[in-house]
Amino acid sequence: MELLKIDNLEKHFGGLAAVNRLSLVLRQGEILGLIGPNGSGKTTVFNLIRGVHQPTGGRIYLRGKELNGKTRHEIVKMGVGCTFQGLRHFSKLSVFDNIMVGCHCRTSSSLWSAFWRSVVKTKAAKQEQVRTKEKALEVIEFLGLTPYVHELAENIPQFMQRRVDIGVAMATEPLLLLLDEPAAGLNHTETIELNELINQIRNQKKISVFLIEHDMKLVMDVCERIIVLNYGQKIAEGVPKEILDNEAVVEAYLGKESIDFVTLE
Amino acid sequence: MNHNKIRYISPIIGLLVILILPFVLSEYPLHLCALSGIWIILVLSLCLLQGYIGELSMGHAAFFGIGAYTSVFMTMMGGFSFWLALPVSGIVSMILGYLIGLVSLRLRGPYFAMCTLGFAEVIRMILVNWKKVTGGPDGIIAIPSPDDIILPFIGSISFINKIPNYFLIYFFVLVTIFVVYRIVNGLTGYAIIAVREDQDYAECVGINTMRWKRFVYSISAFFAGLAGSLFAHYVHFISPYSFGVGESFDLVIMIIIGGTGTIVGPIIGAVLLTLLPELLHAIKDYRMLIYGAILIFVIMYAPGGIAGLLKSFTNRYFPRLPTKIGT
Repeated sequence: MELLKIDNLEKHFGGLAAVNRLSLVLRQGEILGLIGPNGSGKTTVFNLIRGVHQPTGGRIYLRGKELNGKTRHEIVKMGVGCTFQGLRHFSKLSVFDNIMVGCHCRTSSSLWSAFWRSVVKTKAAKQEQVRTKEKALEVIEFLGLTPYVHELAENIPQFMQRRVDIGVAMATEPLLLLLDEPAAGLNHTETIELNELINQIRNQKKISVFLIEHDMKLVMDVCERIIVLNYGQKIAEGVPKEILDNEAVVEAYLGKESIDFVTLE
Repeated sequence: MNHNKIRYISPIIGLLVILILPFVLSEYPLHLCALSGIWIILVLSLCLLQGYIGELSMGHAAFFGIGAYTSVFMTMMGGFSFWLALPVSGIVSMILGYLIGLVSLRLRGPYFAMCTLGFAEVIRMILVNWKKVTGGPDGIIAIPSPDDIILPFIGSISFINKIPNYFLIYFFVLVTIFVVYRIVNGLTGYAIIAVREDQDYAECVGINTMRWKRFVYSISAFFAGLAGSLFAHYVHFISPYSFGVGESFDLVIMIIIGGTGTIVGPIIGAVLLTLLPELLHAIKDYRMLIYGAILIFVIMYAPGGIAGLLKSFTNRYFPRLPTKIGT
């Protein structure tokens, strides 16, 4: 079953076509990779999906529902969680509070009822608060952040901060998780842990993953299918083996040595 | 004594002080305490906006004025009871707050502050120049006290004297503290603080940031309006000069000195800056000099304000017990 469907997507910034007639399908339960040289429009594709930019042309569907014209918070509620390039979370809040903010969009949605529930604290409100806390703690435990629950997010090690990013996105209960370069700045062992984590997210939490990454080892290991962008256009699509053998991809992005490096390992 | 005990004991001490004060103070100091109460409501309402959702309003006294004038119109011209005028004045400024927020909250930071400053100036100009209705710069005099209320068992309470007024004001102070505390500490608090920390990111994790900003701005305006109504019927005289830019700035100074992003801070700031001018009567001409010095000192050496100093003091001498996860 197709979860995310992108149809002839286009985005122009002035005269620059950042994304040009891109079509792709992400199937339910899949880990899909998106690679390409710097400036090839990978992050723009993500920004179009999560509503940061509105596309110039084309359509995006999540489970058959159109995402075009929706605001960012509506798209999150429809089931797209995302992380950003670099570290992006509430660095002055504790890890626990970060995850709780993520959980917030699944609490009672009407604002006035939320207000009355907070002020008058009805039984339902107390139950909801307890439920939300339990959910947040579950996410924290899943990500191995338990030792850092009450630390400020900015004070914990960088790899753990990356996990906080992912945790906030997971707390919004997404169907699809967009990960934008999660391995940037990580060392070799951390990258291997990240690989396991992405697999766990998919296998245990049943969340499909769409991944942008420059670390070829990680991409080739974790992704089931890979799409290669260059100048905003799709130049190849297929399983990792096919991508490695694809002449155009090697020419545009990977380079001969990198292939040797990946295949040797 | 540990940290958690302090959390429980300090509100009880505060409550006792409020209850005891009227019986030990003479008339004038009690009057000052009642005025402090009105300022506490105002500063707390602004703190919800500035300290929690992170947008500074430089024109908050405008809502104070709107509440005061609405209440006075209703009681003196409309002939309604004060007890109806009080909530209505809050609601009128809340609706105005919502409408202004609809436009101005698209701006952020200093631009929003400037926008609210402009709005406050517009309101003040209307109050000064629409003489027929507002009495112009002369203001409105002889505003009646709140109507008597008749309670079972206790009998009727008249609000001619200071003491019932004092309790009336402090009742609403407690209501404000309670509501602000619950908003900030409930699930709603997470959304609000997320907007303060990083509005764009908050939007990307599913929080409708504009809606929360409008909501907080409306609630904030509601309490400012309520304070206006209490103020008008307590001092029996209002003029546009009670709701000027100076008053808005006073509110901001109170928050900074008291400590932003806390509930204790605004209370301390409000009380301190209402009482300080009285203590400095003898050296009246140098008052602003002293204010300035305090402000500079606080900004440089205690960015958390007095509440921040208190917090580091309690954390040091009454250590925080390891808390259960998730509390």
